[in-house]
Amino acid sequence: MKKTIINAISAALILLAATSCNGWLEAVSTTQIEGYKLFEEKMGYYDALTGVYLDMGKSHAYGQYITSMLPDLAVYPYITSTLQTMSMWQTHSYKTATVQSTVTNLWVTCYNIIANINFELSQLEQHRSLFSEELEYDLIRGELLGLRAYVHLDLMRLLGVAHPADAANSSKVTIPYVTEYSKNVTPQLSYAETRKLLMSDIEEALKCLEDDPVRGKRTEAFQNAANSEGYWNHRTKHMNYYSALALAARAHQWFDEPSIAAEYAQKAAEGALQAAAVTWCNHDAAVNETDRLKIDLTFSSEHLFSLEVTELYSNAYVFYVASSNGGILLNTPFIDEVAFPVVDSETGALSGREDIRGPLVLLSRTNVGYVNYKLYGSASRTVPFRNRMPMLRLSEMYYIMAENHILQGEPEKALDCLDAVRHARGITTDLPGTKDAMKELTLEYYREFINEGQLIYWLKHTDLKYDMGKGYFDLAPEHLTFPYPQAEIAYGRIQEL
Amino acid sequence: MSFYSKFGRVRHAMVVLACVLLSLGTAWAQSGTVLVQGDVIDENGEPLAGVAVYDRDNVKLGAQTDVDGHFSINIGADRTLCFSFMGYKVKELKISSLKTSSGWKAAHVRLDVDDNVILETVVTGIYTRKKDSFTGAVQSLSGEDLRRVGNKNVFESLKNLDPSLLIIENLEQGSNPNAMKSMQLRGASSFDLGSTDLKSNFVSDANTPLFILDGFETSLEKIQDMDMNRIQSITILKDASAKAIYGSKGGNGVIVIETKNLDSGKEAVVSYSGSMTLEMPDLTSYDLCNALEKLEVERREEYYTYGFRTTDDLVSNINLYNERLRKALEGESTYWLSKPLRVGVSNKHSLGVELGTKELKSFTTFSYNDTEGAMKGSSRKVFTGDMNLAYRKGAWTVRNIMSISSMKSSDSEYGSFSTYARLNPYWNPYDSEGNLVKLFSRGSANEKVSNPLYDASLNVIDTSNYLDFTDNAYVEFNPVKMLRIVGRIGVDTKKTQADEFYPASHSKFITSLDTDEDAVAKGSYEQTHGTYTSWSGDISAQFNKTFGEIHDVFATAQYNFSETQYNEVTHYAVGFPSSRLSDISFAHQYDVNRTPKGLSGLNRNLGSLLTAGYSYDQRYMADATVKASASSVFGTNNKWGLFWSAGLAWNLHNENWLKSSKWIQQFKLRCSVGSSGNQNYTSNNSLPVYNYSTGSLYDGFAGALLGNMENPDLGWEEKMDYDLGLDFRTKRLNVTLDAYIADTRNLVFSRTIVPSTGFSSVSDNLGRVRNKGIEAAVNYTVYQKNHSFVTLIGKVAVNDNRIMEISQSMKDYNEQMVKIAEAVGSALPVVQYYDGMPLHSIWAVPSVGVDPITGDEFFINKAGYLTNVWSSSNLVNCGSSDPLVNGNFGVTAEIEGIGVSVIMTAYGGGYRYNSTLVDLVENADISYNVDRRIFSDRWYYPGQNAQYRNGNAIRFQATQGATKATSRFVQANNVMTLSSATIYYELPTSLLRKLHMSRLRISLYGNDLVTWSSIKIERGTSYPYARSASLAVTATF
Repeated sequence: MKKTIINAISAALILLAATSCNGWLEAVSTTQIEGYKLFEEKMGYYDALTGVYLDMGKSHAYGQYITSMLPDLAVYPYITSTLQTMSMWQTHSYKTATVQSTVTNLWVTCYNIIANINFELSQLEQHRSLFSEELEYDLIRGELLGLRAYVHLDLMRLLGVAHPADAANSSKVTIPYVTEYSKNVTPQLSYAETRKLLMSDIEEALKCLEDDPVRGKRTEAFQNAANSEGYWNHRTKHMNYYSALALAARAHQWFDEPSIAAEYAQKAAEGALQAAAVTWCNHDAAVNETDRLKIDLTFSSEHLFSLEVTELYSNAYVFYVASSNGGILLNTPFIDEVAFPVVDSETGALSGREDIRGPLVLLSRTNVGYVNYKLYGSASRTVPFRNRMPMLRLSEMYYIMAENHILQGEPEKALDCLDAVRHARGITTDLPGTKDAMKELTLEYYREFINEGQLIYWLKHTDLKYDMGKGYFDLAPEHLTFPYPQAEIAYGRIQEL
Repeated sequence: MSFYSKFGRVRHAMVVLACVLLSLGTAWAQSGTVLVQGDVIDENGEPLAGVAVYDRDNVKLGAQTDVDGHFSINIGADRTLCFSFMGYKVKELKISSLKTSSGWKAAHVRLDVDDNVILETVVTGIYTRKKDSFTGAVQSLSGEDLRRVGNKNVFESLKNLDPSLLIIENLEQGSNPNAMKSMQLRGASSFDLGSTDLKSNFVSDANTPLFILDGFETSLEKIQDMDMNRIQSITILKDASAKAIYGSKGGNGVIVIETKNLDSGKEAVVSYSGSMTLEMPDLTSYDLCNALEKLEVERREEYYTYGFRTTDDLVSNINLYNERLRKALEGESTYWLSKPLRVGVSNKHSLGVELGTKELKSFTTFSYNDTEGAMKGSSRKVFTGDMNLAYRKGAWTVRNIMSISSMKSSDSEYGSFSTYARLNPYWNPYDSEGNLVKLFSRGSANEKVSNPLYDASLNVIDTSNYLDFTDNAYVEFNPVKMLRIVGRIGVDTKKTQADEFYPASHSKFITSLDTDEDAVAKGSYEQTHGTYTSWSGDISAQFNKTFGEIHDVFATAQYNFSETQYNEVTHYAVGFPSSRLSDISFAHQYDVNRTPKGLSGLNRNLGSLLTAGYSYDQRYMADATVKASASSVFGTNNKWGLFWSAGLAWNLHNENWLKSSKWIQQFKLRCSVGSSGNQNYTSNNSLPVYNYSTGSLYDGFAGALLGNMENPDLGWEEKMDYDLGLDFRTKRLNVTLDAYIADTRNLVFSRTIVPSTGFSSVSDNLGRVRNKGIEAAVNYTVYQKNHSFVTLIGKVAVNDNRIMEISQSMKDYNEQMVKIAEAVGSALPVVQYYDGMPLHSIWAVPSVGVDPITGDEFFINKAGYLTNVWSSSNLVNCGSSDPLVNGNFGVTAEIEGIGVSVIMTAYGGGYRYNSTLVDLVENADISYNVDRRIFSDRWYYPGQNAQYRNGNAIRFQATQGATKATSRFVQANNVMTLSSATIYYELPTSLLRKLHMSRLRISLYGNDLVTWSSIKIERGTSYPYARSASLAVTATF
């Protein structure tokens, strides 16, 4: 009885007060913007999408940790650093507190990118009517979905098993594929189920990006309504149609579907070249440039998708170039004898000298090792290729095609694919058919992806069968999988390997 | 309620009386009645309207004073006339003692304020009720009470008057006039998880009570800065019955302050009060080495001789020692502690002008308060102007209170006091020419230590100021006696600025390498600008009626809204070559490494309230409150919170069987139960919030990043209070007892969440904390005759605080704390949260003491064995830092116009970690000055029974390493302070008439005169404590 009375009175009180606008109570301060308010206007989606790229560019994610630093330290024959934050990865001491705290930062930042994507996606779908130009909506949605797949795929490759499609692995659980902005725990799913989510995100992204301006079709209406500020001008700095194809190729390659992967790779490479979204780098210009800092060492014209990272240039300086803090150096014998031998012992060609990835990028520091200049470019802000972190590049597509050819028993075709890339690198002599295609392909991975964090996945994918650093740097399969953060395991997560 | 009815009855009686008089004509007058005419004035000499004038033995025969305080009554010549008015002592007057002139007698009566009686009402800030019929636990204090025990500020006085309000001793800030007090009422209930963000003026401590000034919410700073002379009364609302009306904001208790009302009808009253205060530094807690002792400590620790590689080094070091020793033997020793100190001289002036007619009244006050601290250059100046206007016409009353205050505070250019405590006594601040030395050589190494006196001689600026404008308007409509409709609206706006300037020559800019680029960037300026605006308003209807003489009904309905917004930005500039260029506009450039830093908040609230009370025959009382509150800080699913209370009381003294008792004046039992909330936390935690990254662009575009994980379910922190109380009063004895349990549930804090959500924590409601306690207050009047009295006062509050439920979510936090305790260089105990333990527990490893053979410390591990290895796994709770008991006791007396009041405050039952022993004895850095106990009580040779471990400085560091959190230094913290001693003299009326004054009072105050403590710890580390003595004059014309 008493409860009924209290309820009745309280209902009356609330009614009295609530008659005034409840929205009045949804307020935040001026230095912040309330999320739901941000997405009531079209510009909010643009700003939040830009925010996703900025988040990706943080040094705990693609700015450094998951690209130029951790996966590279784990697999390249670098000279062991004096700094614990680096040497722990070089010695594969994954159980140490240093590694734990680093991997926690990496994990949280990657999932933070995903949280940003998920919240924007959920709002986008509820506010479709804000977009008069259908393409604008599709582009934003496509980019977000593509990026969500991109980040999840990297985490899965880095912290999961090598062959997720194998019968022994497909029912194991993998990293959580998070599609909702919520404080609740997203359950871990099996590789098979996660694959479905991943592939459907990529397929959906491709559908949305079908009319991407990167393909050369820009309607006037789109230019006026959506692109008046030039937001959609530099498509390779965003997840675009061709990079979504490339991502599909990468994902299928990881799930051991080489022919599908090669199909996507071909579409991405040929399509992008045809639409002039990318062009092969001008190796002559690179060779003729006298100022090393003015050379586009990441070959940015070949990036299907690259991330602009504000601090890339200065971080690279501290990390690789500056000698004062024990800058990380590549092992000299490995570079001179394996990666870029001056004279090819079989063909006698001077490919190691010609290859612009060698002498241009790597500068010998006598008796110590090679200094890596790849990400340390010009200090001038006007240089367009400054601060670009490659995320998906043209050469990788040729490598994916090459792998498929090898698996189909056509090694010559594979070598042709490699030669296509090697020509762009200034190497004039083709690879002779006598070469072991798989070994050459692996060597290409070593040469092409220094500081990009891709080699570790290739070594893992090929089960370390072609470990070219052997003798210089010891690797075991377990070195290629990073540990889950303790904070995640505390919530019952399991890293099933 | 009975306030109105009482006078209703009196008026009714008057009409009857008039009729009787008319009908009986003069016959009555001849039979021994006499006409008495005169006036009644109050303590300020102002006329009092509405005073009941009646025959003591026949209450029904009475009259009432008019607006000018005049009355006239016919009464038997042998009778005694009584004058009674709410808030004043009843005055009796024998008719026979009056002189007769031209057929009538004249009586001029002055009524004195009755401190006990003024408190017969409870002012809640929303409505006022008679205490007799109120069921809640409140402490009501008059402005006079506050002013009697101190004249510094409200809180300094309150700590002497109510021990349930614990004003937390700030050992770091001591008597810094610019430090804001931190306090808790009936124990702490919120977690303080160390918000790492910059602390703003506008963000208050989670346990701070709510302050209501003249009905409107206000800040702690404003109350601390306000002129105490303006205060009419303070009411502390403690239990659910009292504070539920404030709903979601009342959880920490409510302090309601009313400024002086406009009661008098006199045309012009001018009052002045002024005081001069001396702030005298109190350094009794410091015990540092002098030059000779320090050199002996250094010699013992082989400071000059241990570990030097080359003979040259050794020789030069020994020479250095010998030179220092020679000077010390010659008597040269610098007492650094006194260098930055002074006797601060503070002034306060307050001038009030009250003008009034029957309908329009005004009260204007100006006050100036210039407080000088005990450190040179530290001061706080507040200038305030207030204007209070009231206009009454028919059923309408309009009132407006406007207040402008301007504050300017300066922190000492001498910097932190702790610097001086660390300087070696053998360093001389002056060279042989008498010039200030810029740097000292530290120890034997080539390291330099700057001379803070040199820095202080530069034009260093560390100031802050604000300008605050408040306007509160009230409209009251009384259509009928039983109904009152009140509308109020208030605005408070504040602009703040803070400046911090260090010129290039300041020692903080001395660097080893000096490139040209560095050189131009020397000197720094930090400027902070802030604005704060709050709007609030409410409308209420108050109903009050007595039915059939015995049924009193009271009801209030209120609807309110409020909005608070603040914003603060700090800019950093560098490059100030000269100390005269002390304006930010002289900067060479902005600091390249720092972007402007901002902080802002917005909080909106809505609420509606229904409260009702019923009293049967003034014997049985019941009241109930329901309050619905909504706030923008809470999640979309939980915007509205519902709070309620219910109370019962029984006035035994109004029962027939006790009514006859001559000696019991009040005997009341009361109990209450109910809920209230707490929302003292930063806004925006429930909603997803985006931050723009302006520092970096992507492809030329700025981006917005998600800043937190939303929690749409985030709700109110809820406090359930249960209170049982007793009020007992006889003519001489006054006792109040309260027992309470307060459970705080759904505490809001950052809970760790699974990192794959993208965030590591979310704001959530968790846990339960219980405070239970007993409060007792006893006043006993030992002697009373006319105006003279002697009263003993004793008040005690016991509070026990326990965490009841903390669930798993604190696990991470606790683990983090253990890691902090383990970290190299951390010597202080940490806080951990476990069920069944106090909120503020001290965690340390149990120790059995120092081994006389090795000088090592021995611990007891979890298995109960002795060990000489410190391990974080052996950490245990060694007690709570909150005191269990807090009390005041003292005496107030007034004899022939001379008054004395002496109050002691004491607390005990808690523990404190003696950081002095850690930092300045065991882990002392020997290259600076140290506590004398390192010299006298530290282990030095095998076989010595020493209190303190072998040194870790230089020679002994190998064995056990630095001392870490140990139970050896967890010491009982029992403190007693002679916190207030006052003497005043009130000039007699006869003398005042000659001076054409209506009141003159001279007071002498002493505050914090002596402190006794069970723990020998340095008190006032960054700013010293000070004893204060003050002379004050209050005059009314």
